[in-house]
Amino acid sequence: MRGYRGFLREFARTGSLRALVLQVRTGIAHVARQWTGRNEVGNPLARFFESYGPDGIRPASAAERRLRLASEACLVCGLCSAACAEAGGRPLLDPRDAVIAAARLSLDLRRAGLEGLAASSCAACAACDPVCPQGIPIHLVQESLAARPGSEPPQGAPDSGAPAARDARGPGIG
Amino acid sequence: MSRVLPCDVLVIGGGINGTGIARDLALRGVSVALVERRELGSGTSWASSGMIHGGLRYLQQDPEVTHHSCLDSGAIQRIAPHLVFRIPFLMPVFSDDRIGPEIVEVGLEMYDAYQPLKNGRPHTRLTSAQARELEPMLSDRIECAFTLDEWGVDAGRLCIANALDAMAHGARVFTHTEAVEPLRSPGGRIEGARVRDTVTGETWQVEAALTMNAAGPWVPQVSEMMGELVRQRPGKGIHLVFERRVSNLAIYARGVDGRDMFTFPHEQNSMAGTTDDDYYGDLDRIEATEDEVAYVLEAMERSIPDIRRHRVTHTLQGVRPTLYGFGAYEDELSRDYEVIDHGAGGQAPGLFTITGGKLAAFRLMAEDAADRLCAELGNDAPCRTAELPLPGGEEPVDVAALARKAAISLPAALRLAFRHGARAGQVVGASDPVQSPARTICACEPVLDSELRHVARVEGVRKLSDCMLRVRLGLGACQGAGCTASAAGVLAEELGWDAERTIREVAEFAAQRWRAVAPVLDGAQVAAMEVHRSVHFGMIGMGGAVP
Amino acid sequence: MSGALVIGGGLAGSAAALVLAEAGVPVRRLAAGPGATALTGGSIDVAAASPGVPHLPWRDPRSGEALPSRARLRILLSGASRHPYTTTFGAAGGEALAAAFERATERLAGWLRAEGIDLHGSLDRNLLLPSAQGTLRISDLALTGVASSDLGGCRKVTIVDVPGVEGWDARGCARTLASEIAALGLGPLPVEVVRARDDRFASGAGSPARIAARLDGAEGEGLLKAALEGLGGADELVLLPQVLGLVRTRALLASVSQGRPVGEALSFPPFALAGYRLTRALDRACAAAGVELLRGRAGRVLAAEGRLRVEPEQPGAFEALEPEGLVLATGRFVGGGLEAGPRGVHEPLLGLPVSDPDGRRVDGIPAHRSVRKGYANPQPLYAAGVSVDGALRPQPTAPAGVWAAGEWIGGFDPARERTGLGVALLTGIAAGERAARHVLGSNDSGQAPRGPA
Repeated sequence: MRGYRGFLREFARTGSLRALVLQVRTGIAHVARQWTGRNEVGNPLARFFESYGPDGIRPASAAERRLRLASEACLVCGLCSAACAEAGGRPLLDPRDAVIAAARLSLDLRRAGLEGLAASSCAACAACDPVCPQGIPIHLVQESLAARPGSEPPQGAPDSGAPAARDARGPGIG
Repeated sequence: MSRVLPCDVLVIGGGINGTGIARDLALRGVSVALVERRELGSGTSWASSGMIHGGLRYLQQDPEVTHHSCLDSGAIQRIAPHLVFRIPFLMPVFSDDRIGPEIVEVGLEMYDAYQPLKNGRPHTRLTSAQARELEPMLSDRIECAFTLDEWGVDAGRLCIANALDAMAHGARVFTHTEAVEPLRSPGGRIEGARVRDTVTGETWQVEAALTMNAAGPWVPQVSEMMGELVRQRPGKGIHLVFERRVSNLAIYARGVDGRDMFTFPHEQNSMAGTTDDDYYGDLDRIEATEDEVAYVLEAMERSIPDIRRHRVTHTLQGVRPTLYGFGAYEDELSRDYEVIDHGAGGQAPGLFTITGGKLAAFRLMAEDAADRLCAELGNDAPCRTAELPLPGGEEPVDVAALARKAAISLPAALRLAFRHGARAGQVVGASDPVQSPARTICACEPVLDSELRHVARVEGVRKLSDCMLRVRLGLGACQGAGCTASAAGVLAEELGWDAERTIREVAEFAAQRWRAVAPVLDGAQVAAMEVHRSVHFGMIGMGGAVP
Repeated sequence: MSGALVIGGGLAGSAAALVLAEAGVPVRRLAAGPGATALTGGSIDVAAASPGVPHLPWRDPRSGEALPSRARLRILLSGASRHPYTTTFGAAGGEALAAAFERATERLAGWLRAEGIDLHGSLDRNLLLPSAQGTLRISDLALTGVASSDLGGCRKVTIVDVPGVEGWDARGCARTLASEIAALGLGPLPVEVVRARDDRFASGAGSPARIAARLDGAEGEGLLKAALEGLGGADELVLLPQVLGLVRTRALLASVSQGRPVGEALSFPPFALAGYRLTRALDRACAAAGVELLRGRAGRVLAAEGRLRVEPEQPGAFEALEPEGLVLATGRFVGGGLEAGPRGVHEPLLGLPVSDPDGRRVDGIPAHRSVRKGYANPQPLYAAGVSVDGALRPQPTAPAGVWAAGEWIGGFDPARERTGLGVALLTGIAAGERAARHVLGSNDSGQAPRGPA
């Protein structure tokens, strides 16, 4: 068993007898289980999601992760809110608040069962995007908040080929 | 004649130890005064990783410690359910790791047996491909990975909650007040201390039957003032704080020296750390250094190759009050704690000291310390801190209903409910004749007008910088560019500050943020601080009126 | 492509593009975003007084007489050797600089006027502008909205309390303003707080931008009139947060002022609208003048065989451009003209050296190594940029046909010195003029440094 020697060295320095007994017992059970193949029950990843689903944990799609990285560049300057107001937008969350909420609160929103409410009234007119000094595709952030858990990422999310942000500055917009 | 406050116990230090002990004693009917020279929890507690883990690492040393840790983690979840959050950990195993996957899994199987004590979940073993499906940021060099379950807590609010409950049971809590010299009886017994209010400059006295030195890394300084010697092996630790959550999972990383570190979600952010280095510098000017930052990032990069692309806004830094030990590396030092009676063997009867320990064990440590003090006082009331909820922990909050009723945004309601639990409704009720209680002060957290009024009126906030810990003011992307002036305006009104004091508070706050940002200034944060400076110099006119 | 390209969407880039267009040069303006111009508080400071720069006071410390920007420009030229003002006009002197500013101001006023914004003030008189925090800022030029809250000649200030507006605390503003007025010896000038009679114009809106959009609407004037009914009077200022419309500020003010000054407080992000209005007006002025507006982030500028080539940061984001003349007005860190990242601080387009006012290089090393402890200390990192010669050509190695404008030029700290927009305006126009001469055939290379024509 690889690495057992390293473990023994460390253990010899700090371990207690009681710990050793427990470890040997669990170790024997572990080896026995491996031999009988009882470890192979079900897909562990499915088990993980089953167990952590109620906490809102789900894998982020590549598009979501690029969007999150782009959103990190936010300067909280509020220009997007002004553009949204001029365009007559009435989203439940101001675009500025949506960018803040997007990745910081996504988990809490899901846990509280509130996801999907957050941006339900954003018209996706994208008036907010061109005024962002950091080039964050803000209307996509609104869309990603509005998306229901497990749904597909919003259409038009940054292309997977290009790096999403350079030096965490946000993607260039062509 | 200066003011005199008589009490049973004077607690020096308002970190998690001090506030925990004050609460425990107050619940037993002991009259307590607590003095904290800065803000509650603003030292080591605030700089900690805010984890109430079950002590996986102690399994190989003493399973009994793991058992106790898990039990107490469960207790903290029960008494402060609003302040805790579950953190699923992902532990990648690399082919060049010292300890192989089978050994790791045996350890986790042992740990699984303790998980139910803290409402935890069993581990899972993932192949490299599965782990990268769960967290695509992971390195493709991993051999396999495990998940395990831990809990995080807002350590700052945990201190506040303890202090608030102590106050509700008769304790008096004085922030920005430092002990300057002991009061001694003719027989040499310590009978409290002369204290100084660092805001007003006023000096007064706390006369106490017993004095508890719970000053964390400042314990040796306070002891010296009392004429006693207590040695520590202070260990500096830093965390990098990311602009937002990099992942909803905590991810193990290993430093070049083999130390375990993590990138982990903490409230709305991710943090990475921590370091552990002997510290000999000024405890009141702890700053993260370039090499510490590089060391942490290098470690994180092994597990998360892209980590440097993510924006770090600032650092947290503090010093562990580790028990003294000679001839061992920092990581090998005991995380145990000690309660010292300076009457037994020492020259200062009446004085006790608590030193060492960990955040996760705070309640047990406080119980032990309070037991010792109560034995001395002849008080035989039992400890009740594991059953009685902390303020706000009484019942769960319906966040959607709170948002509707108070007409505030969902993010604001969520964060309010997190910080104040069942009392969130009362917090948004802290009204002003004109200002709307729902007025947003800080968009990042968010923080509302009413919450600032509440912490000023009910929680005893005395300085603008106190709000950083109370309500996480100025810790977002803009580091306070947008909110500090507005927040100072509210506090000025509540606390009666004049214009000069208001601007000074803003300047102090900005300087404090700069100290935390400068060591990691890079990427988009450089632009954010460009805005920060133009707001503070150009608009707020830091530096006072135009000459 | 024939004609000129301007990179940068702020005041410097827009001014350069407008000058080029008016000179008859086909011009495109490429911008990744609006840049730091959009974050202005409402004034255009040419040579404002600032507490951070004690040698540029707002009145003579000995005689006590007011010191206007014209005088401060002279002081500035005699001192700061790497400030862009000095680089461009150091030889010609303060009067030539002031004259250049007067011409520049006139042009800017012309561009903005057509888009509903007036430029007020001059270099001969200080504007005393209250900020939303109640601090008094000494400025020289200000935009519609903020300009009318000048306290010079004012007998009383009525601050309108509007509940629930982000960034607005009327009572706090009043406390600080009263104390600033006393400290500056402006009194007697009473400051009072009055609750808006009718707050329907703001109710439930929260953010200044939402209120402004409401006031832009058909009912806006009526709502605002109702709110300000009976407040203020002749020489009695009615001070509001920045809510007076996103696009109709001038019309709104004209209709509700009724013989009394009504003005907005200087504000900062995320509560300021002045910068949004300014960049919006500049964009529209550019479009109206025939400037082709492109959106995108340039990756690098190449020069081969005497030809310039601008490539996008992301391949394929736009067709590579090959202008005859190029003005770079990409700003500092907010604008993206300087970047901080794994390669340290650097100038991304040409890879030019970046240096602070003392000539020390800050490029190629991590940003945190160029900062000093102490927030209030001068910070070399935030006073750094590219170097230019007297003709605004980037130094030392930029290809021919390239001019620099705005905060991209280093040597000064816009936050402390409050000359950011002044530099943008002056150098934007000058760079545009030089690029125009270059494209139109009058060779501008190799001339001795001199001010803009």
